[in-house]
Parts: sequence; structure tokens; C-alpha cells
Amino acid sequence: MSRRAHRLVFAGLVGVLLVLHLDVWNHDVGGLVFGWLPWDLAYHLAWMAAAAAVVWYMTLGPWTEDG
Amino acid sequence: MSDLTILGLVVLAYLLITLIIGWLAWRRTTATAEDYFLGGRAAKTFVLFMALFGTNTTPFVLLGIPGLSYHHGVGIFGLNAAVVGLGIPLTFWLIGDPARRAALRIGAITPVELYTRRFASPLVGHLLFAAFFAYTLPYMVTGVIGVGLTAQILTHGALSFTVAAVLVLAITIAYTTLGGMRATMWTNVFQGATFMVFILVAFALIAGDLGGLSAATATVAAEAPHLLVKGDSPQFTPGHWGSWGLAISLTVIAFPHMFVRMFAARDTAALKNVARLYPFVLVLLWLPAVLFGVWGAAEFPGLEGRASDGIFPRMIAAHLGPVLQGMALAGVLAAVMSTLDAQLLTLSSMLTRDILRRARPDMTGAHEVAAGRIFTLALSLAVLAIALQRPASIFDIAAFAFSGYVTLVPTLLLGLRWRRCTAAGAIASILAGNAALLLAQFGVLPPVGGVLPVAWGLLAAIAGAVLGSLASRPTDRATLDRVLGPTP
Repeated sequence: MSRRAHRLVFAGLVGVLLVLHLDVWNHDVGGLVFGWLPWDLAYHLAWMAAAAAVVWYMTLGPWTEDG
Repeated sequence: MSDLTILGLVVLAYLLITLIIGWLAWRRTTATAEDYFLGGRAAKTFVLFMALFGTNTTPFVLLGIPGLSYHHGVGIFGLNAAVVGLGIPLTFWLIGDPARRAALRIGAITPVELYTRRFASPLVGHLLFAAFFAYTLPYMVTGVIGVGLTAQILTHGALSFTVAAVLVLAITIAYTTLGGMRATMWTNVFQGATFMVFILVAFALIAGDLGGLSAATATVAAEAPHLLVKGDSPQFTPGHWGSWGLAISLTVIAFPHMFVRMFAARDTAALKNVARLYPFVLVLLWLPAVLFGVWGAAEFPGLEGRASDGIFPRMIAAHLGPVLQGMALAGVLAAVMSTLDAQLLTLSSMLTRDILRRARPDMTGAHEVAAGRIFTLALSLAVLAIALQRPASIFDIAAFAFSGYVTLVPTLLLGLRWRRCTAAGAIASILAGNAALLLAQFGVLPPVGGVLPVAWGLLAAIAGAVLGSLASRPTDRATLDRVLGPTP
């Protein structure tokens, strides 16, 4: 895949992450995950796991040695 | 032996180790400005990561975030940590790496020097220095307030706010002025490890003391259930959420003390590794910080406004013994010193190289270093004077500084990534961004859709950079090729 293609894919992934970050649908969702983790925290921890994967991809594809 | 003595000995041991590391670094530092200010541009992944992360972690995270979570609950994690995990690595790529390569190409040591030469304009450099100075000073104040507050609470007043503030500044000055960048990076490894290990140990022990994670959450559900959901708090409306996310993601690269550490990286590979590590380590630090605040709200209800800044040390004092209380104070000291040292060194290097040397071109390298040390002392006194006033909460002071830094991002980014960006564009961007930020702070520009003033500042800075550049003559090609490399 070309550098340009990598960058387009990356931009798309960042766009999806930003939409998922604006989680207006979560505001009043209660409940606990694993019996102690509030749902909102669990959601954003999962979001960070996805963001970490996207960052990893960023360092492999779009981010080349010359820019 | 009294609890206070034990606590004091632990802190003393920490300070002694820091000074020894600073002394060892001093022995290896030569008199050249490049070695003093950038540690020879040789930082590999581990040291670079610890230096960046140590510099990036301040009482804003250790005290300000628990304080904010105390009032607004678990939503503070998503509001801050999550988006930073994406934003910081992204700016390392878009701004940090090209800045590192350009600085290496022309031998630049400070951000001001880099952009002065990129735009062939001393005025751009002077404006950047003024902005860096204006926003770094209050950010340094948050660190000193954090130490004063923690020391006061954990020693039950035996070590006063003022004495603690003076001590932290004095020790930081001692090793920074001696060892320069190498000392700050070496000590940052030790300091970063100190506060990371402490946070994780404290999290496990306090959760255990509260009866386990489930019991701690159950107590919050019974005492303050609103803290377990975002609800309708103004902090979490889309305008506030989006604009603060933008601010906290973009601001870090515009801290001059973070930006200059990009120059110290050995190569692109080291920066990439740091970017990969960042999101993981952020979780380890921010998750406990938020939960300390939420658990603390159930245990110590009724703290108003900036009083919640003290919730983290209150939890430590209530649940941990004297040795760990000493480690807590050492951990906060470590977080503060690892940032203060970088801030002092970076501001002093910009003043000596970019302002004084311009006025006195015959200045020698040794004189530069000496002038940097004198400036460091004067700056520390100014920080101390403001910190003793405690003008606002740690979060609010930091939020003011962060918003200001964001107005510089268009200049920092477009200066490296858009060859058509000119000095006129950079000047228009900095002036328009800061003017819009001020107007929004004073309510002249309305908070459309609930956005924070930083959104206006960023928008105006982008408009200034683009319009100012297109309306002026392009920078000459020889200058661009010299700083940014040959035209593709």
C-alpha cells in the first residue's frame, strides 16, 4: 500500500475514533463491568485500546522516516 | 521513631538520589550549549520516553484530576485521558518529528531559534518566546502549589506550604543549573519511575483498605451515585467536551519544555517507540487518578471548589502508613521536579540564545550557560511569589495555560508542514489566536454551542496563519530548503 493510501486509511480511523469519543449516548447509562468498573470508564478504556492500536498503525504505515 | 521522622527520611532519600544523579550528569556534561541544553541529541527510546512522560506528568494529573473527579465523577477520564492517548502521539508525528529533523539540519537548540530561522523573522521568534513565557509561568505555578499542598496535608502542617515550595524550587535549580538537559533527562527516568510505581502501589493498597474494588465502587454508588455516570454536568455537554478534548490533545506538543525534548531524540525510531508506549502508560496513571477523586468524594464529602485539590493526599494520609506517605510526597515531588526542571531549562535557553545572543552576538558559549543559570533563579522567584498567592485551583490555572499554548499550534504545525506558510502568517496567527482567546475569556466572543474560549483561539489562529500567508510573499526557497530540506 502506498504512503498516501496508508494516510487515508489512518485519517478514516481517526475520524471514526473521534465520533466514538463524542459518546452522547452514554451520558445516563449506569451499570458496572466486572462488578466494579463503571460503564463510562469501561467504555473509554475500550476506546483507548482502539486508539492505541490506531497509534501503532500510524507508526508502521503513515509515519515514514522522511515525514 | 515518629511517623513524621519516617516520612521525612523517605523524602530525604528521594532528594539525595535525585541530587546524586544530577551530579553524575554534570560530570559528563561539557561546556557546549548543545550538550548542556539538548544532552547531545542522543536520547534513545527508554530515556526519551521517561523524559517526555516525566515532563508531561504534573500535579495537574496527580492532584488536579482527582480534584476535578471529586466534583464531576468518572466522566473526567474520558474527557481528558482517552483523547490524549490519541492526540499526543499524533502531534509527535505531525509536529515533533519534522521539528527534530529541521532542528538537526540547522543546529537549532530551541523552538524559538528553529522558527526564527524557518520564517527568517526575529519577530516570529520574539512573539513565540513571549507566548511560551506567558503560559509556562502559570503552569510552573501549578507544580509548586501541588508540592506545597501535599506537604502541608501529609505532614499535618509541620512542613508549611511556603517552606515546601521554597525547597522544591531550590533543589530543582541546583541540579538543573549544574547538569542541564542531561541531568534533567537522567533524573526524569528516576522521577518517572518513582511516581509511576507509587501510584500503582497506592491504588492497590487504598482499594484493598476500602474493602476491594467492588466495595469501593459500592460505597460511591450509595453516597454519591451521580459520580458514576456523566449525567447532565456542564463539563460533559458536546461543546465543552469537544473543545476541551481539542485543547488537551493539542496543547502538550506546544509546551516548550516538551517540544525541545523532541530535539533531544536520537532518531525517528525513538520517537515512534515513545508514541506507541504513550497510550498504555496514560491508562496506568490516569485511571487511579480519577478513581482516587471519586472514592474520595464518598469518604470526604463536602469539599468546595479548589479545596478538592487536596483529596489525593487526604486519601493517602487516611489509608497508608508513614513510609508510603513519604513515598507519596516523594512521588508528587518527582512529578513536579521532572517538569519544573525542563521548564526552567527551556525558558532559560530561549532567553539566552534567542534574545540575549541576538542583542550581544559576541557572547561565548560559557557566558550563555551562565546567563541561563541567572535567569533560572529569577524565574523561580517569580513562580514562588505567584504560587504563594494560590490564585485559583490547579485545574483552572492549568486550563488557562493549556488554552494559550493551543493558539501556537497552527504556527508550529504549518511552519513545518506547509511551505507556503510565511512570517506574516505566523505573526497573524499568534496575535489573532491570543486576541480571540482573551476576548472569549472575557465573554466578548460568545460560547456558541457551549464551546470553551480555546475553540475561538484555535479558529482565529488557523485563520490568521492561512490568510496572512496567502496575503504575503512566499518565503524564499533557499531558506525553506535550508531548514525544511530540499523542495520535494
